[in-house]
This record gives sequence, C-alpha cells and structure tokens, in this order.
Amino acid sequence: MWKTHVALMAPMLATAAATLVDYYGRTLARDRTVRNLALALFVGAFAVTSLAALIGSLVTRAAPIR
Amino acid sequence: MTSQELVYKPPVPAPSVETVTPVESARPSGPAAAVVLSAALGCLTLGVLSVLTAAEERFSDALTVSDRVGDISGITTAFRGRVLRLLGRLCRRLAASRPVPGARRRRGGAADRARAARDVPAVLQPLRLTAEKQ
Repeated sequence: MWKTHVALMAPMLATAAATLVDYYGRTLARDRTVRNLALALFVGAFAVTSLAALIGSLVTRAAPIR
Repeated sequence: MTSQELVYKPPVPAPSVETVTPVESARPSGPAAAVVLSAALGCLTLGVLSVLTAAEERFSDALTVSDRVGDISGITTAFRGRVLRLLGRLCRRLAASRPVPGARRRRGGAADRARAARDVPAVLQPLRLTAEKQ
C-alpha cells in the first residue's frame, strides 16, 4: 500500500521548496531559517524519491515471482 | 592672546542621528508557513486516505474514479484538491503575519528615525531639550 503512494510526496515537497524560493527571492541568501527550511523540503523530496525508487525496484523483482 | 587661545580647536560635529542604509525588507512569513503546512497536511491526507482505502472496501469503491486506474485515482484527486484548498485558505489567513524570525528588519524608515531621535544619549539630552524649546 505505502509503496504506491510514497512517491506522491516528492512533487509536493519540491513544489513547496520552489514556492519558498520564488517567494523570498534574494532574501533567502540572508535568512538562514527560510534557507534551511527550503533545503530540508528539497532534501526530503529527494529522500522520498530515493525511497520510492528503492521500493519500486524491490517490487519489480518480487512481483513476477508471486 | 594667550597660548591657550592659539591652540587649534577642531569644530565639534553636530550630534547627528545614526544614518542607516535601507536594506531589503523582510517578507512576511505567513505564505511560507502556509506552503509548509499545506504540504504537511497534504501528506497526512494522503496517508489517511491510503490507509482507509486499504482497510475498508467501501472507501476503495467510493474513491475509484476510473475503473482502469483503481482507487488511487480518487486518492490523488482528493489529495490534490485538499492541498490546493488548504494552500488558498492558509495563504489568506497567514498573509499578514509577522516577519520571518531572524530576518533583517527594514531600517531607515520614519519609525526608525523617530526612535533614534527619541533615544538620544544622556550626554546629549540638554541639546535635545534646547532643540525642542526652539
């Protein structure tokens, strides 16, 4: 169940990070809090994507057998 | 003419208000909080819907928009609508909230000039009183 939905979080997190970058613009260079927030969102999106890829590869190995 | 009068005395500079250069104003943190909150609540909605569709057949049938896709079509549709609704509502509510913590405040405005004029050091208080009387 989770394997089919975890990848849906990635575009949402990446869109949130892109929205922050678009909204704050150059202020992002001075503001550490917002910069870390955007960084955490984007790293989270990458982590979720990696997890989805890992689960997907494991599923494609196991699915033809069962 | 005495020797003390011959000594050069540099002119005392007039007390001036500290000049500050205006920097870029801090943006309100409301929309940023709205984005993060809507992303988090969207993730929660996704988790709740996926658990409900797996646990209850009724939810799975109710969320099946396309038969070829299955219940995930309804989940993504509901999830997207939920995120967009949350984003709009939170943006409206938080648009006028406080600035970002730690961000620089806009300086050099009328409020700062008034504050600088009010916070005159104790040494210069007589000068300020004289100026107010004039």
